[in-house]
Amino acid sequence: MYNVLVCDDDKEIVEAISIYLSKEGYKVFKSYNGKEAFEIIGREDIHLILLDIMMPKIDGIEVTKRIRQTKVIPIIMLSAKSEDEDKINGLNSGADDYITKPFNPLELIARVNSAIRRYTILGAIQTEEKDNIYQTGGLIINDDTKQVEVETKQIKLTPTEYNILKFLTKNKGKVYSIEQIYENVWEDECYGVENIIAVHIRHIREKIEINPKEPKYLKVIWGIGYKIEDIKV
Amino acid sequence: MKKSNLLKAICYMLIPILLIIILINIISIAILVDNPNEIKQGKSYYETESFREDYMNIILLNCNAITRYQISSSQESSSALEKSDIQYYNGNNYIVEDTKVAEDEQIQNYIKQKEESQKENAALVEGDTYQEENGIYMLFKENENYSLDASNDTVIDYKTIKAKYYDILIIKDGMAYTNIEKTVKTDTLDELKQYISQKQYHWIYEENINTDISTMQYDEIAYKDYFTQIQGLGFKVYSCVRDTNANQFIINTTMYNMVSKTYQNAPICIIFSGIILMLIIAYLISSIGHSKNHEDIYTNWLDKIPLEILVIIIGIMLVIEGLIFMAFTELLYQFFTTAISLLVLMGIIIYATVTTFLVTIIRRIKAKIFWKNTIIYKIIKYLDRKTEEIKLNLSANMDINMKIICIFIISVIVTTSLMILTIAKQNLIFILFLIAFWIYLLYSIIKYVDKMHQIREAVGKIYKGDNNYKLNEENFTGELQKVAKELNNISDGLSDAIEESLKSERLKTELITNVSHDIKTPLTSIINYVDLLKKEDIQNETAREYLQILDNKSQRLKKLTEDLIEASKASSGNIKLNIEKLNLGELLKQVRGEFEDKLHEKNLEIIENIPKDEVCINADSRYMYRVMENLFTNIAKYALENSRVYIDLIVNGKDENKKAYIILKNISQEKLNITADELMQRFVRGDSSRTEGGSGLGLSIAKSLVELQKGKFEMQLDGDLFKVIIEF
Repeated sequence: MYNVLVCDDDKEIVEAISIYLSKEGYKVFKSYNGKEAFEIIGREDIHLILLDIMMPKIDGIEVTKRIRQTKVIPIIMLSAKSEDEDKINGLNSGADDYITKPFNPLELIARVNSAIRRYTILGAIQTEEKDNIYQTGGLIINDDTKQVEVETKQIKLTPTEYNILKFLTKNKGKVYSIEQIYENVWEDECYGVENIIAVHIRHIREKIEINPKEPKYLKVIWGIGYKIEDIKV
Repeated sequence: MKKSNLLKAICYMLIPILLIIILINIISIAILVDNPNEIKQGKSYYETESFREDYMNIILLNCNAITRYQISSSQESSSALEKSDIQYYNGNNYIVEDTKVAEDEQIQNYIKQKEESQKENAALVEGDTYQEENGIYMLFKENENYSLDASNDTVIDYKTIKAKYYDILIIKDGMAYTNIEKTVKTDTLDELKQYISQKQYHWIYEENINTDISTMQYDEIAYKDYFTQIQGLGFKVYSCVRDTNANQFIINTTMYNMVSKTYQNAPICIIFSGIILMLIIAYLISSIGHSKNHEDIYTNWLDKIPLEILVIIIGIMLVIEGLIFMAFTELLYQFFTTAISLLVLMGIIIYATVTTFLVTIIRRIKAKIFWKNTIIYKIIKYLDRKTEEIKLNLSANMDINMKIICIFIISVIVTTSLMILTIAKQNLIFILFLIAFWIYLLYSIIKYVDKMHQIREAVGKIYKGDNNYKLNEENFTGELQKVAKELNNISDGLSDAIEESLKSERLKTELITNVSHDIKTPLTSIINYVDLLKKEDIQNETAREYLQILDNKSQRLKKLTEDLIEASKASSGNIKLNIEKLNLGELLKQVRGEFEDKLHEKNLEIIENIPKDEVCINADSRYMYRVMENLFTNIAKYALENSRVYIDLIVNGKDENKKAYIILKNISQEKLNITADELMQRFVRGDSSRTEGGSGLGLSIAKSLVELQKGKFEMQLDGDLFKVIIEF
């Protein structure tokens, strides 16, 4: 049982989130401003904080900064501000994730789960680097067993999808164009089939990402190609 | 005022009649006042001194010749006087002298006088040749007894005199002797007079002329004696007045006689006619230019002829008419009736000419075009306008013109003087000065042109949108400095305006963003609670239906707020672009991959035409994807099922002008009853029902984003064909 602190000046939102999280089995602490949040953090053993940015008195950014001075608990920011700048600001202040309002409850839960897993399990387990295991962040590909795990969750992929993902993960951080991926995965030139690559990649993204439109691992560099983000644990 | 044409015509006719009446009356008065006494006294000729003198002379000469013939022929028989002697009766006695001498003296005296004034050499020929013309000579010649030596000189003189003005008639015993006719036998004087009068109508005979002669100056005594002598011999002398003045005299006399009976009425007649004339003229003047058909003063073609030309034409006409009139006047003596009718006709023509002229003048004055419709006025007007234009031009460019003129004059002076110095002083150093001066001039011109070029460049930059470009005003002088200053002002003004508009755009975007944020927070709750509600076990079917609607609408609202922010940012340019090289072919393939499933759902066949070679452009890849995403979403949403979608990537041009075109074509499901422009507007969608998700901002956002990245976005609708062309 993990403890999650939800902090938002909008009571209904706090209530809704707590309903979702309770269903997932989390113990939810509610606070409606920064001050209350601090009190709870000081009092309870909190594993994750969901924090609204725009709050009266002390705003979310300030709260994050203060928490970061003493604790490393994951913080997910919630905000109606969807601008890139806002996201960057939030993340730079020490937040681990950023969710824009209005959010999809499922996405919220998935992100909360992911953050908790990372904080509790991944953070503790040092995955041994083996020849046939490719890893980036929470994405682990075991080439021996042909198994793919995203944040401890098993993912089912088709052989083609698996090959593409394996190739990209093996060369994480590098960008490959459709043609390059095709050539490397199929290992021969065959014009015309390559169009399917893009479709495959979308399918992979839909399977491994919480929000395929804002992918964490399999990123689309538009007009250039695709890459697997190199995430250090 | 009623303008009857008939009345007018009568008036025009009355004018000359009245004028003539007035004229005649004035002439009558003039005649009465002015005529010489001769007429008043009932005489038949003007008693001027020269007339009397000439008259007497001829009478004397003629009488002398005639009487001497008579005397000598009678003396031959009675013989009181010597043959070939002439006797002058001097008071009481006859003085007998040498005939020839006495006679010649008398005659020669006169001849000499006459010869001085006129030398008629044609007469100096043998006497016989004059037989036909010289009556008196004939008279003498026929009577062989005439003792006078027919000296040519004498005879000639008679003829000359006769041809002049006077004739003489001497009558005795029923025989009449004249200087032009043979001796005429006559019983009565009247008969003779009548006989002669038939030939020449203007003869006037004076009986007993001697009575007048007594008052004359010229050789008074001699005449008296001579006449006494002639009369004493039983002759009756009649003289004829036949001078050129006679005609006039007759006319004058006739007129005088005529006038003298009516002159009392003349002044009244003049005044009366004058008043009527004035009234008629006043009426005509007032009526000129008015017509039943026209409200204002009407003008005809005649009034449009410039005044000067009209005056010339009328003048020429009047001169010609006048000459003809004069010519007809000459005819008056010979063909009186014809001449009079012709003169009247001419008079009418002249009157018509003058009247026409006066009428048009009056009409011009009335219509206020008298001065305007003259060549002089037009010339003055033209010159005035020209000078005005020149003045304006000059004043506008006075500064710069003066400068250029000054520089030019100085250059000319310097160049010329240096040349003159070179020649005069024979010193080459001045040539060097001249060359130096020319180089300086050239340098100045080049500098000036360079400055002009700078200004031109600045104008070009401002035109292209570089509002921050500033000319350094200190680099310029004079007129160019002004231009530079004004140009900077324009640039400033432009920057201000653009800043202002940007600011307002930014404010708008901020407003929209803020409002959207405020909407988003409650929206979060709505979405979440709708979701929670859905998870509740609701048995009521209707409630579940409603819940579904709520879910749809809240999602739509979410999308709408997001798009609204994006659209406002994109259209105001409030977006940070991360421009980098991107491969359009790759992008299209990726996008296609993203939408493959959705397109497949609608069974859309995709026909791709992407070149093998890389087509790279500089753009922000994320926003380019956003553009493509919007377009493909539209295709997936609005394309006709089972139709084909064409994706073309074309490269045109070379090197610098290389352009890439992305062309998307698809067939619309719904009828597109709107224009491309309308479709591109915000919140307008291809389907009018608006039931499906989507904000209607997709195309607008796509267009704004493409344009932000310096591309061109064009949409074409051709029937159901929907075509988008993106140019980079």
